[in-house]
Formats: sequence, structure tokens, C-alpha cells
Amino acid sequence: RQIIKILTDLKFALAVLLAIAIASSFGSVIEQDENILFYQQNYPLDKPIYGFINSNLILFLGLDHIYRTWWFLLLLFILGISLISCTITRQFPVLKSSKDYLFKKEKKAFFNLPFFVNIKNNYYIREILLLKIQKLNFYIYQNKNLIYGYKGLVGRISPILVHFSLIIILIGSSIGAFQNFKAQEVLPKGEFFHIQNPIRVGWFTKLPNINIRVNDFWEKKKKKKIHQFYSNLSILDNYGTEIKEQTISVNNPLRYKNVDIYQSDWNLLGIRVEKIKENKIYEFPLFSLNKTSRSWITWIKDNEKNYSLIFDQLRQTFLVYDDKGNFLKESNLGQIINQEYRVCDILPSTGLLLKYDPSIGIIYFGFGLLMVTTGLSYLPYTQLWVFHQHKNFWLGGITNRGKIQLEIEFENLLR
Amino acid sequence: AMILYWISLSIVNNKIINLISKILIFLSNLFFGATLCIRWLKNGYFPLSNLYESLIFLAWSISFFLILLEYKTKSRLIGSIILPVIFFLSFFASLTLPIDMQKSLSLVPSLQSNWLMMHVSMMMLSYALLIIGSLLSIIYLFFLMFKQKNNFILEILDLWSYRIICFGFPFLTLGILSGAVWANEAWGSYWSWDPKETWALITWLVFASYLHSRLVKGWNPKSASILATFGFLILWVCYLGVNFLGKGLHSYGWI
Repeated sequence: RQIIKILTDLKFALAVLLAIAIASSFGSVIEQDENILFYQQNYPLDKPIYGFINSNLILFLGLDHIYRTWWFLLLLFILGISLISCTITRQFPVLKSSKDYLFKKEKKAFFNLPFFVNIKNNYYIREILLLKIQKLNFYIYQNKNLIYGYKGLVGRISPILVHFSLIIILIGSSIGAFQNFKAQEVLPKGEFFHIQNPIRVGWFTKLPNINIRVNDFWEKKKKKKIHQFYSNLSILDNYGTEIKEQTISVNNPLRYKNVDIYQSDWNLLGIRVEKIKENKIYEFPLFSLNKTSRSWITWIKDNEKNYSLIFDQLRQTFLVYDDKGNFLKESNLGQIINQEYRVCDILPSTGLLLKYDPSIGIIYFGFGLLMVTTGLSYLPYTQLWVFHQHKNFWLGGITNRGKIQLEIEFENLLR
Repeated sequence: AMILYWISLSIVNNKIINLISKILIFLSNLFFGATLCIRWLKNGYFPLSNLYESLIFLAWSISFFLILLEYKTKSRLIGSIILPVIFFLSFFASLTLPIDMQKSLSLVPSLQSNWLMMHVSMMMLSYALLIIGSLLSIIYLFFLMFKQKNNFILEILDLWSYRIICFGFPFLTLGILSGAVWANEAWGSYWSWDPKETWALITWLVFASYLHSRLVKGWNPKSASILATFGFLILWVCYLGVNFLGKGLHSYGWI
């Protein structure tokens, strides 16, 4: 019982929230998911930062992969339990009692309310007041000389639903973590593949069995800068007939049975060169100069001379250098270089990211619910009580938001 | 040239000249809005793609909410605290940022999405509100430390701070969630512990605990205001600080 008491305590929940916040901040300062050598170089054992942060400490505490360590997941789990227990023990009972007719039958009950007033010697006030309360859109329950009214039940229920939607999101992401996977493929057009090359796999993942073919890959430019990349893909069944076909672009993925295919990157694989005398077409591979600069190089060997060709971005022009590194000329696709070779074509390949996540439906539901209920939580929930006995007349009210509004309404009622 | 206009307009910082300062705040809000609209019309996309544009949008939202708040509360106290912020923002945006970063370039493919409008604008609006609210909490702490006489002002500051942060919190929630949905549409993962995402979550957690702290039994406005102050600092780390780290999916505005 003690444990449950601690779990449902608000201060405990706040402490867990802040602990998660602090742990997350560590994760953004210390680089995540690098190899051991990286940490040994940057947090050396002989010169630890601030005197005690060295790579051993980092690896021991799991700070290199904070968001997957057991203690971080435990914190999230505790937060979930705290949310659930708080919802069950505190908020559901309130939900039930808000539907009861909480008549206040004694003078004493009114003293606890933030707004109350005692009017004497006025016999007709009850009818006048009832009329006014009705005009304000309250639900009114009446029992002999007692009146109870409330307005805005949505504002009372919404905070409960907020916590509920947070719980849904946490559950959804746990399910997703166990079952999702991601895979990557880099392919030129015409190629076709199954889902292999997973980057990360959860514990209970099953790789789906679908076949995908890349039909084409191109880009569109706007004002000389790359505007958007497109890939046209087909999904085939096991006999090669096309089930689905779609052109995807960067913000536009292909969705098929819980598998999403995203356009992520691109690469140049090679060039097609025609040797004019032989009338044959050869394919030469391209090598990347620098991973981020998007330039590739290849070599053509002539009888006497060697040439280097450099391709930059996805342009139709390329640069020709001789074997000493001197710049010779800039050439177009389709042009002849030195009367022996003609560069016909470049072969780009598209990078695709595949993702399987069955929990997306749950998560989106949780998101949507959270968005709606967070907004609705700001509606005020107001309650009014009236009690009269002989010449004494008691009127009291309480609200959970917008107290000033209630004050104004109160004043209006009394006039 | 237009830039210098705004800077001169935002240096309104005192309680004396009522009407003139009101008009000037209004005009500077209009100028911010006009810049954004012109960029929008000229480039064909919503003006929120680089640091400069987001700073101008933030300055616009803060001045907009300032006008609303001054109308509702009829007090110039908020204005005198907030206006220096707007001033620094527009100063930084216009004079300190290099011209290259101010130019509007065409959007990279990953930014061409309708989610851009919703996610970034929600975040900026929420930043504006939370900045105003938490600044009020900081001023509360100042008053508490130096001027212990006036309980009325203290109470009002605390109340305003609470209500403004209350109003800004759902915007922050919407912003984070729309960012997650956008990330899922574009990159296949709704949460990837990117520095900016992480710090936005931390901001959310801190302000959530601020809002709930009122229900704790031993609550007093002072500790709540300390929480809000932390929230203020964390917000700036989330908005500008992570750009200096230069990594992750959000590095569009680095220096």
C-alpha cells in the first residue's frame, strides 16, 4: 500500500518528469551511438572532463545510448505507471461523483466555497434566481428547497482524457519499439529487391515478404537548384505482376500494408560510355570523392593517355582532366571525348528507406486525442448551489478555471 | 532600410508616453507582419524556412500577443518587460546575422510540405507565449527579492504568468505533435531524439511540471516561478542553442 501511495503522489510524478528531462539533456550533449574509439578519444581516461567524466564512466552508465538504457526505459515505465495509477485512483472517482446530485444542505457546507452569499428576508428570490441560472446554460437539479447546477462538464473530463492519451502514446511507442524495423536500399532504376538490409530490428519483428522494383529516378530543378527528387516504384507479387505503383518524393512516401517506403537519398553509380570504333557500350563505375560533396570520379584509359572525369551533383555536364591533374575541358553528356569515347549516360541510383511500424495507428490516435483534449481542458467547470430555509437564502459557487469569470457571473446573479 | 525602421520603432521602453508607445508597438507589429507577407508572396512558400524568418516571425508573434495582453490587462508593465526582448530579436535578426542567411532561398525538398506551416508556426507561437509568461515569473522573483512591499503586484504577476503559460502550453503540445507526425511522413520515424526534439520535449516536461505544481500541497508561487525561469532558459536552448551543435535534422539555421 505504501508503494501505491508514493506512486500516486503528484510530487513523485513531477520528480520523474524532471528526471526524464535531465536525462534527455545529457543525451543531447554527449554524442549518441558512436563507437567506443570515439568516446575514448573525446573523453580520455588520462584527462577526464571536470575531473571525472571519462569514457569508462560514459560506457558504464550507458550514456552513449541513453535513450535505450535500462534505467531510462525504467523511468519512462515508472512515468507510465504513475499516470495510470493517478488516473485510476484520483480522477475516475471524481468522474463518478460529478454526476451525483451534490446538494448542499447545511449552512456549514457553504462556508467552504470560495464564493457564497447569504441573503435574508426575500421570499421571491428563488424563482428569480432560477430563471437567471437557467439563462446561463447550467444543468439544474432541484429537490424541494435545494438546487444544484453545473456547467461545462467537458472541462472536468478533459484533463482525465489528457492523461489517458499520454498513456496511449506511451503504450503505442512500446509496442512499436518491439515490433518495428527499418531497412535501407540504394538501387538504380530497373532493379528489384526484397526487404533485406535492416538497420534496426525490434525483439518481435517479422520481416514482411514483399517485392519492390525501382522503375525510374529523376529530379526536378527550380531556379537552378534541386527542387525535389522522385522515384517511381512498383510493388510486385510473387509472380511478378504489379500490385501497386506510385511515384514517391521526399515528403510523399509509399504506403502498403503497414510498410512505408520513403525517398531518402541518391547516389551516382556509374556512367555508360560508348567506344566508337568497336560500337560497344561499356559501363564504368563512379567513385565518390567525398561523402558529403556529391562529386564522383572515374577514369578512361586511351591508348596513350588517361583521362579523369569528374561529375558533380546530378548535372549533365562534367569536367575532363588529364592524368597529371590539368583541366582540359568541360563536356556534355553525349559528346565525344578525344575521338574514341562518347559518354552516353549517367546511372543514378535512388536511396530508399523502408519502415514497418504497426503501432502507428495507436500513436496517431493518442496524438489526436492529446491535441483535442489539451485544448478542451481549458474550458471551465462551474458548479452552483442554492439552499433556502425560511427567510435565509444561501448561494454558493465554485469553478476550476476562470475564477474571475465566475465572480462576474455571481455579481450578475445577485443583481 | 525597412530594417532600420523596425529597430527604431522597438526601442519603446518606458511608462511615460502612453499613446505614442501604443501606436509604435502597433506599427512595429505591422512592419514585422508586412515583411513576412512580402516574403511569402515573393517566394511562394510560407516564410519560415531559415533562422532569419523564424526570428521575424517570433518578433511578430510576441508583439501581437503583447498588444492583446495590453488590451486585456490595461497595464504597461508587461510591455516594458517584453519590448526589450523584441528589440533584441529584431536587432539580432537584422544587423547581426550575415546577409547570406537573410536571403530567401528555395526550399530543400524535405521542407516542401504543408506540415511546415503548421508545425513551425505552432512552435513559434508557443515560444512567444511561453517567453512572455516565464519572463513575468522572472520579474516576480526580482520583485520578491528586492521590493518586498507590494503584495498586490506579486499576486497579479503570478496569476498572469500562470494564465499565459497555461495558454501557451497547448500550442507547444500541438507543435511537438505536429512535428512528430511530419517527421513520420518524411523520414519514417516520429521521434528520433534529435537535439531540437529532445530539448522541445524537455521544455514541455518542465512547463508541464510548472502547471501541475499548483496542485502540490506545499506549493508557493516562489518555487513555481523558479520552475518557470528554468523553462525560460531551456526554451532559449531549444530554440537557438541547438543550432550551435550543428547536428541532427533541424540544423537549418546555424552560424
